[in-house]
Amino acid sequence: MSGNVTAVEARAAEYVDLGVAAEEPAWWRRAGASLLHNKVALAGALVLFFMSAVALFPDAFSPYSPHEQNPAMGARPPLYQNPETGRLHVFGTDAIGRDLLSRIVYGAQVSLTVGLTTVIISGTIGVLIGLISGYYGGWVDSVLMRLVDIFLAFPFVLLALSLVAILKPSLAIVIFAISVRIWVPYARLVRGSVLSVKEMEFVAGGRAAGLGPAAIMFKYILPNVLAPAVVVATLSVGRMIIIEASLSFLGLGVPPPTPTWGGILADGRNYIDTAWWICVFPGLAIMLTVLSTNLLGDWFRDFIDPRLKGLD
Amino acid sequence: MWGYVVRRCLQSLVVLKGVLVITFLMLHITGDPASVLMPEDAQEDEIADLRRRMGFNDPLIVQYGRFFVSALRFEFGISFRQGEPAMKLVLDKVPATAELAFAAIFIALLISIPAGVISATRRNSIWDRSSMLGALLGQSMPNFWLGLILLLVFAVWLNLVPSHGRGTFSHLILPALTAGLYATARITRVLRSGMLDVLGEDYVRTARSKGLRENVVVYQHALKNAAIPVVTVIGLELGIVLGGTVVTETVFAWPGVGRLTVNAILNDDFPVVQAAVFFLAFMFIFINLVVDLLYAWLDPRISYK
Repeated sequence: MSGNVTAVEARAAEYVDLGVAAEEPAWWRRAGASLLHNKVALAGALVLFFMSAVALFPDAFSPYSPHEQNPAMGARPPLYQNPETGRLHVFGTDAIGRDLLSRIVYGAQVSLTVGLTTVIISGTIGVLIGLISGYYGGWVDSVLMRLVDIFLAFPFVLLALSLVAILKPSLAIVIFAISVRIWVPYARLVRGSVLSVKEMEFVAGGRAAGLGPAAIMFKYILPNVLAPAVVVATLSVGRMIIIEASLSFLGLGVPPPTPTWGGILADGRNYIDTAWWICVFPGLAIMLTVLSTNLLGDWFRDFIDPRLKGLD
Repeated sequence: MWGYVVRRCLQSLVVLKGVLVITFLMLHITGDPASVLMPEDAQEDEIADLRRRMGFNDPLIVQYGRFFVSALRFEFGISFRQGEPAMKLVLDKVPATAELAFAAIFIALLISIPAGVISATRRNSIWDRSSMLGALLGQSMPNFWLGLILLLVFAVWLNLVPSHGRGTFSHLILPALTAGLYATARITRVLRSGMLDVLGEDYVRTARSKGLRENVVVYQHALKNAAIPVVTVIGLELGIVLGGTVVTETVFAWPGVGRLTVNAILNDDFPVVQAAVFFLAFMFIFINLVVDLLYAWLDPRISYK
């Protein structure tokens, strides 16, 4: 008897296994298949992959040192070959003779680091605040949501600039200054979803089973409200890159000698009459990177949940 | 309706108070505002002297009380660099920034309304695809870079417009395009999806079946209804543009609040920074309040929520 049952159970298990495998492949396989299907998003992914490789291994992509100056040579146009050194400057050189391509390659590091870390930090803070606000409701919710309104009212770039100026510019301070304000949309979004999820039966079930608020929030509610927040996060990486570039452009980003895209553009503003290339190439690098994150973000949103189409 | 108006106004006051607290704390975040205000090579006794003069030795709450009382009178102290009241310096620059912000929104609407409507009515046509591509590119480039490229092409190469300053219409056009970049992209997208929703509605079909001309159906029946979410976006964008003309003003040397503030930040002129940040936040809150009330008036269901 028991032998029979085991055999049946084994068959059933095999059947279920087969069924699950046939209906629902692993999420990363589905993601891969969907990405291969969407050529625009695939192009975005490839560009972003390339930019990440540039940011991680700048030595491999930059022809020369980003710091080496040649003031006597000065600003030279793209494809200039220095007859003395024999060096070819594909993107030209800046006002003090530094190779522009090498500076743009090294600039990728700051842009991508700031873009990713600000999104991770502010996303985490925002999700936590939204979760607490929506779950507890009442005065906790009122206080946290007024805090959201207050931060929303600040002129964002000026707030970040002031913070960087007061705390003295560095990579960590730039990340902090941007994250201070950027958690707000996550908090609003997650709070909204928590309000509807916490009324659902499985949450009541968790509570009836004697689980504490922390367990209910993190095990039951969080997994059900995370998707829109993750979508917003992927879509905002590009914006963070633009904001970092704006801070550097205004002179309060990661300080020199570290090359940043915004910093190179600020130099370019001074030589716009005589050396157009300093203004053009760093901007193209920013646009290409941001465009690729936006395309990938759009695809990711549709992949996670087509109903989220309105988010951006 | 009146209950909603009162509630919404009180809420705005609470937010404004919070903005004041953070504007005050900004300078105290390092714990020693005097050394933030002094140059890096300042002597210890100079810093101590400043600390005494500015009242930084008093308990924080006393300092905040003083700050709060002056802020109620719109006073944020005297500019360290220019020797004039900080708020006066900011208010002097407001017309320039307001001119730029309104021109930016105007140009944004001029581009985005036809683009959004045509995209929706001729879905998947070449017009739709190019305006969606334009919106995507617009959202992907830093607006100050667009400003630099416009400057390069129209001021340096073609010599059609002046490269900096304020005065005539030709001074305004490039900065307004630059400052309105994101608003243009966003309004186009919002309007397109709003129009797509509305064009499928029964009353649009009714209007068509009455034999009305397509233009009347699209512009008088559909656009009016699709415009409601756009009003919110315009209000939000106006607030964002007002506070976000900072980079545009720097690129075009536009003498507005943003440029004043960036220079004040770079020169540690804190009264001016606090006055400007407070003023811009105040405007943002005010515009949002007006938009919300307008919205409730357009769509009365809102005030009963």
